[in-house]
Amino acid sequence: MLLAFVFPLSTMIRMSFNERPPIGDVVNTFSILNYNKIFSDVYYLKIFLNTLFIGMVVTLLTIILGFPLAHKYVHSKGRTKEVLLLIILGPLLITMVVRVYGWMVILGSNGLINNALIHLGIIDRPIRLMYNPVGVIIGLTHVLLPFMTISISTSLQNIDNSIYEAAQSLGASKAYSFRKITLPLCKPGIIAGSILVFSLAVSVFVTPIMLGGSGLRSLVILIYTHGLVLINWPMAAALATILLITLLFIMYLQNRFQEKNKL
Amino acid sequence: MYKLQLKKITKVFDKTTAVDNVDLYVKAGEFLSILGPSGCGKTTVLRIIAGFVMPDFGEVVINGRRVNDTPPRLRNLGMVFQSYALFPHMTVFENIAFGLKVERFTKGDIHKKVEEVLSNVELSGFEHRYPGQLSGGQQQRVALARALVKNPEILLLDEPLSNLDAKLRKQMRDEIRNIQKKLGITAVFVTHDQEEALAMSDRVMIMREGKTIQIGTPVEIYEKPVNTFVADFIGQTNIISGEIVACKDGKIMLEVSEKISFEVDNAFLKYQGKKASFSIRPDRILTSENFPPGSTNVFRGKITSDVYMGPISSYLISVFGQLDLTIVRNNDGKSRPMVAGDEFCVQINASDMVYLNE
Repeated sequence: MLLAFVFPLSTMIRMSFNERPPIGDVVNTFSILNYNKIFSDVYYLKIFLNTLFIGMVVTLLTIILGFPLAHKYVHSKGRTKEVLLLIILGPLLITMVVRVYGWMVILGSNGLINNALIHLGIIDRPIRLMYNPVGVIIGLTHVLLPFMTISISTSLQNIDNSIYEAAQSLGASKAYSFRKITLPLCKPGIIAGSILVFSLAVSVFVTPIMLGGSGLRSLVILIYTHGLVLINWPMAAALATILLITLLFIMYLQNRFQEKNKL
Repeated sequence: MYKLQLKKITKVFDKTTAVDNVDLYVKAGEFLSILGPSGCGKTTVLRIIAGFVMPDFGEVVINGRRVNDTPPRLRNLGMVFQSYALFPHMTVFENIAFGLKVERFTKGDIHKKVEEVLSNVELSGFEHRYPGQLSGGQQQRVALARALVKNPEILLLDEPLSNLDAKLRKQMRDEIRNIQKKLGITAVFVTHDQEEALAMSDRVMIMREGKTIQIGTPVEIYEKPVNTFVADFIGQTNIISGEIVACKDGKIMLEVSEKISFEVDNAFLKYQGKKASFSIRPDRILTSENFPPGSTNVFRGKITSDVYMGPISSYLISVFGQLDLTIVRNNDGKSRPMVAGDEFCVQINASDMVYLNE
């Protein structure tokens, strides 16, 4: 186990300290040339922030959409519950590429949404829902929603229902109970879900490249470009290492947050 | 005016009548138990009082006011749940303060009230613990404190002692009763344990299959069960069935078999040929090696089994092989102990046999 993780990671980190001149092969040195380039060029910074931004927006959206879905699911029974589960897990049952193609059909200039809006007279010309961050965010949210929903469901499921009756008997309204009981008890689920969704949003590849257009806005695409198109492995490794450290940092933060609020 | 009144309360779930035309009144300061086997509707009645279940028919009246349309949170009741339902993410203090915080009491008031109720349940010092760190008995006391802190009109308890071991149950039973008495609060207590109901209550309401069977003081319930179900459900009893062969001067003659007949004090059963059943408690049957000649209802029997239970022993006596009676005797060390195989005489007072309806 350890070997399967540690070895590739350490190789990658080691590679990030190498250099690859414009012509020729990878040179084994120990230089921070790549890191210098990354931190001094605004281009990289913009992409980095863009990636994080998309990650955060997607996480937020999955929380907003996932919570009511999880709530509905936990409180339904029998047939309804089975159907809901299928709906929740739906996105996971088809492969990424098929799913994203589906979105392209819906979001494209000649797609479902634009056609409906023009038909209804709300807009004259198609709006750009694709080949930009909007498309990426929509696609990613759709794909990653199941993870958040399931995570929140688990937290919700573990709440003993008589707690709500107890709160009622003590005078609490539904809204008060939600604020003071449901939300705090769902924190673990929301945090776990957020870590998952954020990490995936930031590192997923197919969706940004298909829905994001040629703008190259995602860090991952950049890594891909450097690694496989430009064959600049050291640079790709450096970018990947930075991504790794960022994710570890976010996870650390969220863990600390959870510890502080530990029961 | 009664503290609580239930008028013709009926509730149907799917096709089963969970509560069937229940009438009940509870006086202020009274401790009333609702007792019955699983599924008899007792918890449903409690939840109707609390407001979590809407009756299909009938009225719930608290302090003379009809509350059918009042939601639970406005009925000012305190409820202790079977699972305690403590808020796991809050400390003991916060759990108890919850109800006060909802009503925006000041910090000082909250502190005072919580401390007061904590000392009532003898948990002072536990303010900062979490429910997960408490034992079953302690959790229960927190649940009780939380329900009491707002001085509710009525305290409702839904089988709160079911999850405790025998010794703790007895202890908590006394504690709950003591607090209730001390605070003078009206309490409705649901249980399936008849010993508990008898020990704690001012009155007991026995339910079966949704219907009220008998309401009375523990003594009335035990000594004068209204039918076979109650006689059997409360404590142990002997059911003696036979035919009335004679009735005169307020006494009847009950023929159980050719060799066994009892003289029973009963002024209400008037006709011969009627089949009737009577209840006689094991502790009411007298035993002796011999009774004075001429005594009524004396029979000689053989002990077929003996069970030692510490302070008492229970015996099965077979009379002429035709009637089996369970009797109970104190192990006081004075009388000669009885063992299986021995022959003894039993006597039943004519006035101790209780007529059972249906």
